[in-house]
Amino acid sequence: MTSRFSPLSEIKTPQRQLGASDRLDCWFQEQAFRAHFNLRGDPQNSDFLQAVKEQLGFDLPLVPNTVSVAGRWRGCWLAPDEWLLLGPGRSEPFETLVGDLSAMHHSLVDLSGGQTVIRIGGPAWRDVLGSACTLDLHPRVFEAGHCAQTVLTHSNVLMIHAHDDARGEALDIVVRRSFADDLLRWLIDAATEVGFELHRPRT
Amino acid sequence: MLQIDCPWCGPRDQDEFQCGGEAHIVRPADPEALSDVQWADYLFNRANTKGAHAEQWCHSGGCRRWFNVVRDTVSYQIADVYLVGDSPPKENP
Amino acid sequence: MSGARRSPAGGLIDRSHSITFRFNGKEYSGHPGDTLASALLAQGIRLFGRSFKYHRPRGVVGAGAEEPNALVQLGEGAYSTPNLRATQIELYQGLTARTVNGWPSLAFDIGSINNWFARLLPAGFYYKTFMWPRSAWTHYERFIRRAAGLGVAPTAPDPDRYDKMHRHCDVLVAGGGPAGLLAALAAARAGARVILADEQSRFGGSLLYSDAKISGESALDWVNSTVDELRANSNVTLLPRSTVTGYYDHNFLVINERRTHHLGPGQADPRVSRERLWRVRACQVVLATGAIERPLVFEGNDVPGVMLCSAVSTYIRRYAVVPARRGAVFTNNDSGYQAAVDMAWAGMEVSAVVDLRPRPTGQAVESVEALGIPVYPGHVIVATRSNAKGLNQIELARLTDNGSDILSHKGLLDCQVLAISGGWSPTVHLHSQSGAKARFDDGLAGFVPGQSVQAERSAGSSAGTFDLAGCLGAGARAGVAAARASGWSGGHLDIPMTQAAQSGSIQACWEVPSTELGPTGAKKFLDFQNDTTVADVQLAVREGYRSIEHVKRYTALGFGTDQGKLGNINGMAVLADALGQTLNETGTTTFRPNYTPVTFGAIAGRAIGEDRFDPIRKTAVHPWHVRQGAKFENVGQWKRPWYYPRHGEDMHTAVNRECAATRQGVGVLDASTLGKIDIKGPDAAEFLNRLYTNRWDKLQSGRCRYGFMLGEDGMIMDDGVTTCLEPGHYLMTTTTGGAAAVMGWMERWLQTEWPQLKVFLTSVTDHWSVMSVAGPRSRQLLEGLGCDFDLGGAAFPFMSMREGSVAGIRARVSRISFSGELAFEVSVDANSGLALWEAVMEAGHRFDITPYGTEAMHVLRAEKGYVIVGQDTDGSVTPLDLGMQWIVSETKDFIGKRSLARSDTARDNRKQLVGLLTKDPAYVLPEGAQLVNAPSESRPVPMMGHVSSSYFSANLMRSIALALVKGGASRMGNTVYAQLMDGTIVPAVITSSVFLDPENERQRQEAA
Repeated sequence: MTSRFSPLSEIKTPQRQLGASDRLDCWFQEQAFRAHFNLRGDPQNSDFLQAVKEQLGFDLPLVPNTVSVAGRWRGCWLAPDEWLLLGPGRSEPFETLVGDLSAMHHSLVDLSGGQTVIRIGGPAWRDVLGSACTLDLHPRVFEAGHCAQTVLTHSNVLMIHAHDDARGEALDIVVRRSFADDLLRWLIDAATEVGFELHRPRT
Repeated sequence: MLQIDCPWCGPRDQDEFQCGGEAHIVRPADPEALSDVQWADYLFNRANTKGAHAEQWCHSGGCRRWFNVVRDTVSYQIADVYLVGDSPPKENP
Repeated sequence: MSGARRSPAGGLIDRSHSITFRFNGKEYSGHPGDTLASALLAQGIRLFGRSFKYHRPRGVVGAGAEEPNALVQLGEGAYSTPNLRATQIELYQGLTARTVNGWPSLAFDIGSINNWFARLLPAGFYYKTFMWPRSAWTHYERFIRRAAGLGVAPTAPDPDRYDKMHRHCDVLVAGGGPAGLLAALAAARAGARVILADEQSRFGGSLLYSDAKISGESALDWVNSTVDELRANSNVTLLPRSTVTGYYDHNFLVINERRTHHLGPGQADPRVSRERLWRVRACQVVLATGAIERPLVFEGNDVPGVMLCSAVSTYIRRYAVVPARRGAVFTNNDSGYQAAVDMAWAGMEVSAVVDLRPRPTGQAVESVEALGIPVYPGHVIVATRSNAKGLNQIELARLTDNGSDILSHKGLLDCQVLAISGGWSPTVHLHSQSGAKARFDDGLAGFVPGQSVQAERSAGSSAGTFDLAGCLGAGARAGVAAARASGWSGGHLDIPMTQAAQSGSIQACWEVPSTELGPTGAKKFLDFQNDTTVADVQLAVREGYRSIEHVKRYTALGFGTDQGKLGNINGMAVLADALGQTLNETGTTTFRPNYTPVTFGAIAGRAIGEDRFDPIRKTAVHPWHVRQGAKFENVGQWKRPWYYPRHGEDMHTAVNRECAATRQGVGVLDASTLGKIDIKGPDAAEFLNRLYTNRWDKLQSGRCRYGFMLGEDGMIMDDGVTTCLEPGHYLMTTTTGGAAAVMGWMERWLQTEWPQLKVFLTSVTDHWSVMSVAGPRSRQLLEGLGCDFDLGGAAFPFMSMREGSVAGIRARVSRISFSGELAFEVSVDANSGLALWEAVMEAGHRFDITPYGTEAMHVLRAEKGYVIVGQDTDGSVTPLDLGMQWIVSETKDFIGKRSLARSDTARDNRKQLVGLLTKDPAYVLPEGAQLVNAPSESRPVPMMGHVSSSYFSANLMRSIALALVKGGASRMGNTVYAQLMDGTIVPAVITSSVFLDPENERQRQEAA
């Protein structure tokens, strides 16, 4: 197998930098080499919804800005006829899905090389993100099961409320490959005051 | 900074949107049948409304859907948001 | 000792610490808690600056944002900030400041000559005199600007960090005085998310200098316990030192938080931003911005020592400064009486309370009389006398019963401080910025908030409620209402009790009558900073000005850095009087953001420098380019290798080498930045037919085609190669810069015009890493690398695509060429892009493989006459102008087709693409050069076109250029002349735009 490089491979990990109060109130970790598939199809077509459910185990979310989860796969609402399927990689149920969908009008496109996930957490993650994000991320408004697309520092991103097994509440930022390095550097700089740890990527 | 209520994603900052200008301009079915003047009217001439103005916006920083907005060009207040294909709301419902 | 004029006890200053600072080069000391103004007043400093026009000596008038006179240049070098108000600068150790206005020195001011010639400097003087003759203005301007003073912007880069914070809240409360504190408390108890911002270092507003009791405790204790409760509530964000500076559309407000100013330059932790700009979307807004006291307008009202009553009280109670030994009060309302009480409390002799009102009564008056202070009802001050240190006498006169004239003179009174109050102007700035219109209230003699147009409500003195009990009640009610309107109705709040005096009546007075016995020619100042007088406004009216907006610009009323916070209402009233209008008819000038000046640093935030001003997009191979020492070019937001200099080569040499290597051996280009769109659905071919000028319904799987996309106006918008992956499934490429726009354009047609077409689009630009392997050895190289499919011309013809494995990596390989050479574009999952690139480089070693950048790419394509959209086209070029009729289908409609038949688009003398060969083969024309038929033609010489691309071609050993020339297609062989900026005239011959291999034999190379 040839070597793979994530879009964040030029940023040194791990690194840590204490904040002004000698704390590390924010952490980042790339969730590298995930499977990203863009799915488009007719939400009125029950065969389409059923095919996805059978293979991936969840109902495609029809409510805007929500996420469905089953096992290691997540389905994120992107548009009324568009979703991001985020998972561990191509696997048998996924290959079956490709076959099942072939008869109906749809589009299932591999974007795995074109996107990555920056996970951000820690007690100050909302403030760090608040320096760029115009959305209301207050826990009253943005909670588990929610996602939202927005623009961070001129980059279009998808933000997904997440739970990190090791570190608790977090946010996954799905960003296009070419913007990823710029965005992470920007976020690290934004975390200067609160202090941050950048962990080795999780692959 | 306007706040625009995307019919899908809800209220978002104007920065996430792109304005497409006047709404409800339909492309002529047979352009070849039109005179230069008629074609130019479709192509170039716009109402430049003062007051309630129906216009197309795209949530380019979000769901990338186009939709219609009735925006007052004087006060910038947004009176209505509706999907492409729907008729503009009556002025005084 | 922090000064001769400091009280021995009291005030909100920390006497256990002393701070030394410098003002105009001299060292002083003060205490934490002082402002620069209070510390200097405590030292007995009275002269703070000179006025803008007449250069009259001026002292501190106010104690806050309204201060027009005490402007200083704070700090040194890169940290220096101009035009700050000494009344708002918190004192810190080592502070240095100097007066901004008073060149060459504060004591001897050359500009004060203007004062002697004051009669010659009426309103509009500069406009009238110095603008003529126009040529002389540049000379005058230099002198005027220098004489006018005002601070200097630092020239060194700002060393501090600035940032921004976006926030949503249920209730934003602007102003943390009694009304604002209670509004925030009420809303917070109801459960709302609250932001409370106040421009001062601590919350409390007017309570910071009040002797009132609230709920039985001192005002200060009540403030502290209220702030404690708010601080303990996790739904509340407290922002001291934060000015709500702008109120924009849809309840979007901007707050400027000054986080480290009070520590002094370089003292704060460098990780902490100096200022933060909060961008807040508030569901509801409570404006508790208070009110600004107005001066009274009388002759000599500008001498140092004349101060607002509220300022005198503030300096005494908050800063423990006794501003003078003897003071007096001149007022038209009850506020003046509190100042008299405070002066007496501080041990000052109070010579008089001069009250315009004929019969003032009530609690305030009684408390002054009880102290034995003489009260002069129905009296005014008609003149001031001053010495080198400022005010020392005031002249008292009695008004006639109707108050319109002077009845009799009552002699002189000694005093060094005169506290004046002409009433209060509610701070309606934010209300007005929100789009609402303030209205004049005759009873209050001030503009009060009108009908709200956004989700805001005013409370307290900003709404015209001037007594403490009223402010507390109004604040609580506003907080409850705002919380409820944002969906929160819990909690409970008792309105605290206070025994503070009710506010009494006011007798409006916009101009104190002049005395015939007084000193003639003395001025009544409206705007202290700009020296606008009553006479100036009256003159403007005599000269025909009617609109307040015009009078403002003519007289400079309210044009200073204080934006007329102090003087505008008086000025508007004088104008209304001169016009015979009511104040509502005259109206106000437009209140615009920002309320007080905001630094550029705060506005820019962290979006500065090459790294953060604009995002930088990188390809998967970027690290390799960096390691090779590539020079980069910005294309859109992308960083693309421009050329790869070897061993100190200059650009010209490097590009020539890269071009030659690609034509003779093999070159590689990182082509990943091109836009890529996956198009899928049964109507995909039909959709492409409508988008592109040529036909797509016959394109077979595995084949590629080049296309032009036009705007509906017929002009070329984008171009690129689209490949049919399988029936109903295509991969489109776009230009690098046009990718997002084209994707949006296509989605727009699908969503708004042709929703019946079954087509799905997905942007895949970032998924594919693309390298173009070009040159006669490219096929050989790829074969050596290991491809699991036949690369031969018969099996894999030009303009086709194969999927397979290249160097063990899954790839799509396309035989397309932008260089005119045999070329293969290899696309792989971008995670493997770098691995593929390195494998190709290694395999190419024996062919002396040469990476080439965008500059060589441009030269190679220009040799072939291939256009670049956006360089050889500029939004006014059709495919016909490029001589590419072959790509325009006659048999179908497409976007922009009808426009190609418009009379203007169809005429034959449009600018058309041609090649140009300079007579001197070594001369490379500058791009953009204008072309003429003959330089000898009479002027204006008709412009025949321009050069769009121009290079030195190493392969042709001469310069080549592409140009757009009027009627160029039918002018082959003609000579045109490029007329350059420096006068050089360069002759060039019009030729075909294809300079190399017109039969396209190189790129086809089918017989391999």
